[in-house]
Amino acid sequence: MSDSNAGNQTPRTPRSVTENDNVVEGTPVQQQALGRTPAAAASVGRERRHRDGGGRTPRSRSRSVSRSMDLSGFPLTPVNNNGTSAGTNPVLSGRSPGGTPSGLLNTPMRSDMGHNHSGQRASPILFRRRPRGERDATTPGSVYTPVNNRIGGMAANNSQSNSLLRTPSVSSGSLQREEQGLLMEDPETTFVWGTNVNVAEAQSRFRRFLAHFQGARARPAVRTYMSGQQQQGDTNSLDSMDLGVEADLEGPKYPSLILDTIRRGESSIDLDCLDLHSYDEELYSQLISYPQEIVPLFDIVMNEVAAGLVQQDEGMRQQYSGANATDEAGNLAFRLQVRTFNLREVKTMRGLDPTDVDHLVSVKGMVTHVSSILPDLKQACFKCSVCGHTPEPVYIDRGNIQEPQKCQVCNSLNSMILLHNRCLFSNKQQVKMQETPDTVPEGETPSTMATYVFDDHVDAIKPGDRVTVTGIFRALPVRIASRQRNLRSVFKTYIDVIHVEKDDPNDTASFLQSKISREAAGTVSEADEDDTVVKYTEQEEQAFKEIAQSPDIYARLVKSLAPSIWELDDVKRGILCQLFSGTRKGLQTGERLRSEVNVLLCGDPGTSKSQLMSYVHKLSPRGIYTSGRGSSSVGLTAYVARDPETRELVLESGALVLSDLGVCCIDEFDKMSDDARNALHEAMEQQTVSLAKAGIICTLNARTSVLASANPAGSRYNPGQSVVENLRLPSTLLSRFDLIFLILDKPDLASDRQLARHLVSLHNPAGEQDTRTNDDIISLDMLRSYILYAQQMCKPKISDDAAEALVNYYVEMRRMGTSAAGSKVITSTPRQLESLVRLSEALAKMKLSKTVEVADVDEAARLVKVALQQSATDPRTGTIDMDLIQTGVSSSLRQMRYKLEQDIRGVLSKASGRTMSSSVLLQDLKETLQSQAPSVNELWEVLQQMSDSGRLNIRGDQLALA
Amino acid sequence: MTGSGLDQRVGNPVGFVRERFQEACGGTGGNTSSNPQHQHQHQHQHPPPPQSFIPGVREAFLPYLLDPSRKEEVPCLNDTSSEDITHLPDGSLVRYIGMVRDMLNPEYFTGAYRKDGAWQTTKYQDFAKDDLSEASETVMWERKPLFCVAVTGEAAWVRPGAEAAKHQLEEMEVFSSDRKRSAPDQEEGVREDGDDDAMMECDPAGQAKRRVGGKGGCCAAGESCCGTQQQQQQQQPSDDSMMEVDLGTKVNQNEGEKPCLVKIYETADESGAPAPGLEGVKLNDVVEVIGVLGVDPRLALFQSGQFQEGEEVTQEDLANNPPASQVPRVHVIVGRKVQCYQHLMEEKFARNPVALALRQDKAKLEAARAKAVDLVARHLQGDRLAAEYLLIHLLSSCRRDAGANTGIVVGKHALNLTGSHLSGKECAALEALLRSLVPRCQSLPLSLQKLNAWPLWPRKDYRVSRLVGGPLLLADQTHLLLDETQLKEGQLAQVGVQNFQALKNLMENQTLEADFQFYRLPIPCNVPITVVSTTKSLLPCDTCVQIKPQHQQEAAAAGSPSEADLNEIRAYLAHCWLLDYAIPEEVSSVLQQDFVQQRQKDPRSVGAEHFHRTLTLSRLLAQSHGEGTLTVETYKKFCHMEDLRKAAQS
Repeated sequence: MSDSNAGNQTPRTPRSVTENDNVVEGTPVQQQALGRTPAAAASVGRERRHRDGGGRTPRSRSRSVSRSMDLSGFPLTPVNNNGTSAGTNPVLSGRSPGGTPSGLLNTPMRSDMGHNHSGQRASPILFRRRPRGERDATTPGSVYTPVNNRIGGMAANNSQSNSLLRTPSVSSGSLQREEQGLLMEDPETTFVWGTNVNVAEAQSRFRRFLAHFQGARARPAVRTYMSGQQQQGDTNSLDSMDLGVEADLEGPKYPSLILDTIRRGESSIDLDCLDLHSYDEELYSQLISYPQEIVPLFDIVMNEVAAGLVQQDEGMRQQYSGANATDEAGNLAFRLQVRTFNLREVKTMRGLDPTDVDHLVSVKGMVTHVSSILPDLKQACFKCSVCGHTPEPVYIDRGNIQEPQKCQVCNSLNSMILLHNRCLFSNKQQVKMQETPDTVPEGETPSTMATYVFDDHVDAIKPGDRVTVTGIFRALPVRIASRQRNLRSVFKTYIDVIHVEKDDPNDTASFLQSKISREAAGTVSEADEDDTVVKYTEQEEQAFKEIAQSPDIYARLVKSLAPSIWELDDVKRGILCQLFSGTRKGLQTGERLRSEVNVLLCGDPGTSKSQLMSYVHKLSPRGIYTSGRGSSSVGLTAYVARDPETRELVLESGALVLSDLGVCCIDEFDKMSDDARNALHEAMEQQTVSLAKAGIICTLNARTSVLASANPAGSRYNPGQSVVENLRLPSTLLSRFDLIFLILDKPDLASDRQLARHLVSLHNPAGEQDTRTNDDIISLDMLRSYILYAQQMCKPKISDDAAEALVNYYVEMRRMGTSAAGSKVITSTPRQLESLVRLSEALAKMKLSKTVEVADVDEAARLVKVALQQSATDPRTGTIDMDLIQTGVSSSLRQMRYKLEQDIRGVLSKASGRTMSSSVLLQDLKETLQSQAPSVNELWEVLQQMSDSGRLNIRGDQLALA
Repeated sequence: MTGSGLDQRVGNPVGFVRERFQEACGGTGGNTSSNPQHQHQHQHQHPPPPQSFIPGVREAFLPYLLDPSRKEEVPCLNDTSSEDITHLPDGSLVRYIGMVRDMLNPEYFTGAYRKDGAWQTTKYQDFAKDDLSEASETVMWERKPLFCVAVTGEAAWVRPGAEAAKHQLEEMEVFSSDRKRSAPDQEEGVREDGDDDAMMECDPAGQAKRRVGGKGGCCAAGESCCGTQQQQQQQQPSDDSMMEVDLGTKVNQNEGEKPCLVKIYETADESGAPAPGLEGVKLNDVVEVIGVLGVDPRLALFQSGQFQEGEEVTQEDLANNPPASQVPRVHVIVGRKVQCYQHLMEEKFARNPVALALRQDKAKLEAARAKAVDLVARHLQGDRLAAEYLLIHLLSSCRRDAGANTGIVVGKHALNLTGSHLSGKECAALEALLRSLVPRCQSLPLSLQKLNAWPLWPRKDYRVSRLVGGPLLLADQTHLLLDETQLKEGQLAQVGVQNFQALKNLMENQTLEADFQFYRLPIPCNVPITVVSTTKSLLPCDTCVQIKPQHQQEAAAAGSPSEADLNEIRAYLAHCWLLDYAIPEEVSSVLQQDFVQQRQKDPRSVGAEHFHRTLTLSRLLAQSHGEGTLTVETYKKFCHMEDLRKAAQS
């Protein structure tokens, strides 16, 4: 995008070649249009300015521009397209902020069509006869009149290049001219060379499609992510597009899309090929089979239609022609390119075969390498170094530029010099892709594929991106030597890319970029947050519903989750709840209630915690797996870095932000540095990550569920201590986990026997298979999409009964504490109630049920109890004590300490001088309290506490009450 | 088709294929090329061949792959003993056995073309007979090149045309000697070209005329050479990571054996069913192929097409099109995957009287077993218990659970031999022993310096678009011997840590992760690992056996075993390895009972892992006695072994 604004005559000013210091990469379109004349862009060479003199005024240039527009224009538009009239209005004022100058030359440069391959086709002429409209649009004879030769030379160039680059007959610039005589035939009888595709028919079919196709909703433009510079603009445009579509939902899809595109000053229109397929299957198959021919036809039609639409639209006409006094070229202030995407079949690289050559293909892959920008010479301008004569520009012919041997004016031989800044270049970039890991069969290496992207796709993708590219699959014969005609029988294959889609929600770069841009633009609202709304076909929905309707769905899901892991069913249930998560609720005050379920697994080494986590990581749509040992706080949240190239500050997101709307698995939670763990506090309850650093202050969403696993502090769980003591994790963090599961390696006869049988059967290939039948197990892929579907489609509401049940459970749990230990023990907190709600909702979601039933609440409460019993049981009293989790100190311990303090006070106050050494105190206490005497440690803790609070003075060994 | 055709298949396979092709193409028009007039009439009706499959070809060549007597007729590229092999002409029928080291992108080629009305094919060839630009019509086909190298760590006695055991020492040298001096290999070749003849690669105009040296690689000088390009070439060899490129293959390279670009043609036959033999070839698989040799010197003259000057030849192109003198092509007509022991049995012991006797006579088998234990014990300072463990370890092999979901590896075993007296010398002796017993064996010294020096895991080099094989990329059933005795205290660098992780992963999951820059792909392996260390190994070995030197036996170690004895032991191992195995129901219940009881007693050390190990080793013990089923006695015997082992440790 950035590149092509350099001006009319040198739309492509590659960095390496241009001398034109006016070229500013990435300047917004408007600025270009207003601030720079084509002349400025082109007339840099000193000698040329001198020579060209007055002829090169903006005036004449503008005329040339306008002509070029006419030439490439649209005969069907009602407006004057007889634009050969010279001396018309300057382009300067005429160009509206729509960014015409760039659009003009930019769009017709269909670089992706530009590479003819001389493959095995004997002739590069692809149109046997050319339709009248086509001819008008491309190479009118007037271009070659002597008058235009110098002054209007550029016009000729433009028009020529337009035709060259837009039509497939690129390769044969010279041939076209020779052919002109033949072009007068009726388009009705014109066929694409070598096929039965009738040009006129294809055009009219496409016109019909554009006019009549009823689109439900335009897909959001993926380009949002593609250009960092235009984030803001794109964000707006996205909105406007959405608005536009919503405004006339009933109407045809494309007219509004076209108008919006023009309004935004963009030059490409994404054509959803599924739309085309549903409307006109034959045209679709023609497009797939002959993209090289059909896509340029689409371009022509698209521009015709667009011109017509602009004329109909009052505001647009004003905008695009009003400023132009003569209205000479008002309808042509834009130039659209059709970008086809969303083919019915997205192939893997492995799936391509020779039958796909020259077809339109969609290929999914991961970008591994992006080359530097290659200036692709489209048209060369030479100058005689002897007399200064500049002959007509030369066009690409089968990849070669024919340098004039002899100067026509002075007849000197080999005197021609290439004038770089008057040549026409386009942007090109080689992008190497590699298969994504999921498409590589086990034990094989990923295939790679070279692709070439053009114009505004250049620099839009980066290594590491997962993309789906749509383009023309080409095979280029490999020669033994480039000048020899002798061909090896081998081909080099590549794809000329027409459309790029970054399609992976896991794709960190684009995901983050879109996220930041949206958040920066303040357009975030709860409604549009699920940016990756997947559409499901009826079949899929049916399949999901079937799964949901099976009576034992819950059990099946549990079985299907990590089937290789033995037992741990309750843990799996908890993790399922986490995967399905609660319903997201926004309060009217703007606050959000957390819907994500956080789970902590704590247990002995070797109890397959990590296996379970890596499974969850695979299952979750945006799962991130990190190990606590290596994580830093910035690695978890977000950090500001300086881009090594641009020196700009950029925001890099960490694991928590990246796993927004997913599950963030943190292994070795206990080994994490305190610093890193502290970073979790905010994320786990507020579901955001705040950052104030180096001039960037922002809050990023981190609506992530945390699945953490920890080993007990002493590597093995000590049953004599509480969880908190075993874990040595701050209780503030522990209380943020909805479920804390203890996975203990306890011998148990029945389960051991089962385990043994399972293992023996594994080792016994001849023996009977595992008792569990495989039919019951939902495959990983299915499970993943089922979870996604449930998360998206299912927002269960809590029924009245369930609400009451929730309340009852909560009250009961709170009461349970008090009744068991007599007083002051709290078993449940409001946080627990929230957990209960979330878990019940998740359980309802598993069944795709619309309401949360009492049964769900029952199960949720059971899960909470199981987890509580394991983790919040005070080993001293055997009762559940939420204080353990909340404060790290059980209330029984607190009571015990209180009592001890009273005793100490008693002893001390009786002592002589109210002082006493600690050893004597201990002795005393032992005598008075007998069996209930405290241990040295306990005593010391209490003494320390008293001293801290100023109730006790410790001087050396002497203790005295304050 | 028979009779004279037989000779033709070996002498002129391409001609044979052409005839079949023409038969297939002209089939609709009645008679074949013998009737030019007839064909002429029909030439416009002849459709291009619908698919690359040529009927009759596969069947005609299959005997050369499967029938041992016919096999002899085809020269084998691996046969280093014969000098002729390097002088085979282009287009000969050859046999090749190699391990898949990399899989290149599919290659599209003009498979068939019509010239003067008749269809011709270029299948199984690098170049078309005619100038393709004169063809009136062409059809594009696809083939898949596999980059193969000689089987890593293959013992000398397994190789065709084996020259006894004298290779062993050389190989060890290759392995441990520094990288500069080790054997030339193809990657080196590519680079050397750049190194020595900077201009060889190409000149920008593509007009360099290059000669190809018959042997020492291709080299030539272009008349003109663009300065920048030259610079590139010169800079590149000094590039450090480029050195890594060498290293990977070099370490895995056996002396005197060439790598080979094996090109696989159709993956499906006429009916669309997958072609038997080579379907689903994976990295590390060993393949045996019969095909057409491609050593046309023009292959080195690689120049890509007409695109634009300046981006003509990339590193990738060069790497994927090395000179044929260094990397010959084999265009596969028929091929199959080679299973290590099955192949060994077939090739070596199929008609060997010793092997037959083992199969039938239990006593002979026990005798062979005793010999094996003796031999191994002699190398372990007479410790027979350790010898038993090592022997059964030699039989170990893992398999992946059939359930697609689980991916559990069953039967993997890693043995740790410890002993305070162990050093590099003992290790080398042990390696020599293993090498003489098992078909594939590779050793790897784990010194800090070496661990930190370069990555052991395979990774893709994107400059040349090739997988750089780490030394851990091993064919199935390659015994990996890790020499930890050389490990000293010191700092592990990043690479070293990752190397350890790779080793750990290999040991625990029998997978090796290949680094593809943006993600890692696990490659399933089947590599039994033995770690030799002075104290308990750093790596998570399944079984740790402490060697207790038995001094009185040391004298016996002097005599080296006779070739006949070795052969008997080899046959014994192969026989036992191939045994089927089952656990009968009643034994199963005993095992379960025992497990539950043990766990009651000692829940900490007895768990799933422990039971896995018990089951694995019991199986190996049973197999080592030539038994296909586990018996309670064998299980008890194993438990006794375990008790002894634990006693020795404390």
